[in-house]
Amino acid sequence: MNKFANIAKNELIKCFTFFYALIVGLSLFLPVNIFTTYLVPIMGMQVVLSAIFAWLFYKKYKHTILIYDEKGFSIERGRTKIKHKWKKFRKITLGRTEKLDYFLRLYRKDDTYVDLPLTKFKINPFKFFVEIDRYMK
Amino acid sequence: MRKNSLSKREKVMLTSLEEVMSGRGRYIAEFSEAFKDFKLNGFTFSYFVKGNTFIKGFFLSRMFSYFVNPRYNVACFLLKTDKKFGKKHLLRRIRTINKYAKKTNSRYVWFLLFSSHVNDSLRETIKTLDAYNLAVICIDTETGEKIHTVSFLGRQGKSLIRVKKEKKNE
Repeated sequence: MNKFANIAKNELIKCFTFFYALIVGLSLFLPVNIFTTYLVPIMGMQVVLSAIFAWLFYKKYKHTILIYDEKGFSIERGRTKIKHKWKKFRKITLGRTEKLDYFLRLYRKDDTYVDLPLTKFKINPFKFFVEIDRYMK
Repeated sequence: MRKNSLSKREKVMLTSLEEVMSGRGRYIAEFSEAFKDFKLNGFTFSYFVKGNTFIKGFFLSRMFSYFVNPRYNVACFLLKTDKKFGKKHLLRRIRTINKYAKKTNSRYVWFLLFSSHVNDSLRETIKTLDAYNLAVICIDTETGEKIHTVSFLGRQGKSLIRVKKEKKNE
C-alpha cells in the first residue's frame, strides 16, 4: 500500500491568512491603552494563535491523503473519503494543465471521468501512469 | 511506489513522453493528454499524445496567443519496434496516421519510433520520406543513433527523443 500525504502549502497559507485576519480583527476590540502598551506581545500572540488554529483547521478539513494499491485507491480530505477500484474504469489517460500540473484521468464505462491529481502529491506522473495501467489490465 | 522493471526502450520512451509533454515539446505545442496502448484501425501505438498550438497563459499571453498563434490540432505517436519492423510496416502505419490526421484536423504529426535495431530498409524509408505535415524520428536505443525525415518538422522533432544519461558510480 502506498500513501501520499504532502502538506499543501498554498492551503495552509490561506488558512493562516484567514485566521490572522480574524484574530487581528478581534484584537481591535481591546482597549487602546492595553493595545498600545503590550503591542509587541499582542502581535506575537496573534501570529502564534493564527498558526495554531490554521494548522488544526488544515489538518481537520483541508489535508488530503492518497492511498493506493493494486486493487484501487482512496482519497481522504477531512472527513470525506472517496474510494474507487481500478477495475471500475475502462481506461486511463495522463493529462496536464497549462501550469504543468499533472493528473490521471480515469474514464468510466459511460464516458464520464474522475481526475486524480498527481503533482499535488509529488508523484512522478509518468511512472505512476505506467504502474496504474498495469493494475488495470 | 513499486519498482518498475522497464526495458531500456521503454525507459527511453517514457523519458521522451516526458520531453514531449513538459520538456522541449512545449516549445512546439501544448501536448496535454497522453494515451497508452492507443488502438487505431487495427494498429496499437505504445503512446499517443494529443495537443494544440493555442498557447494559454495569463492575460497578456492569452491575448497574444488569441491574435497571433494559429489554432492547430497536433498529435504525437510513440511506438516501440523491433528489428523486423521495416518499410512495409512503417508505411502502413503512416497511412493510418494520415487518415487520423485528416479526420481530426491535426495539422502536424510526429511519429517517434524506439527500436533496439534499425534495419537498412527502415533507415532509407525514413530519410527519403517527403511530407510537410508528418515527421518520423527513429532512435536505435542500443547505439543512440537518431534517424529522421529531412523536413523541418523532422529536424525539430529530433529533440523530442531524449536518452537519460545514467550516472556512473564513482
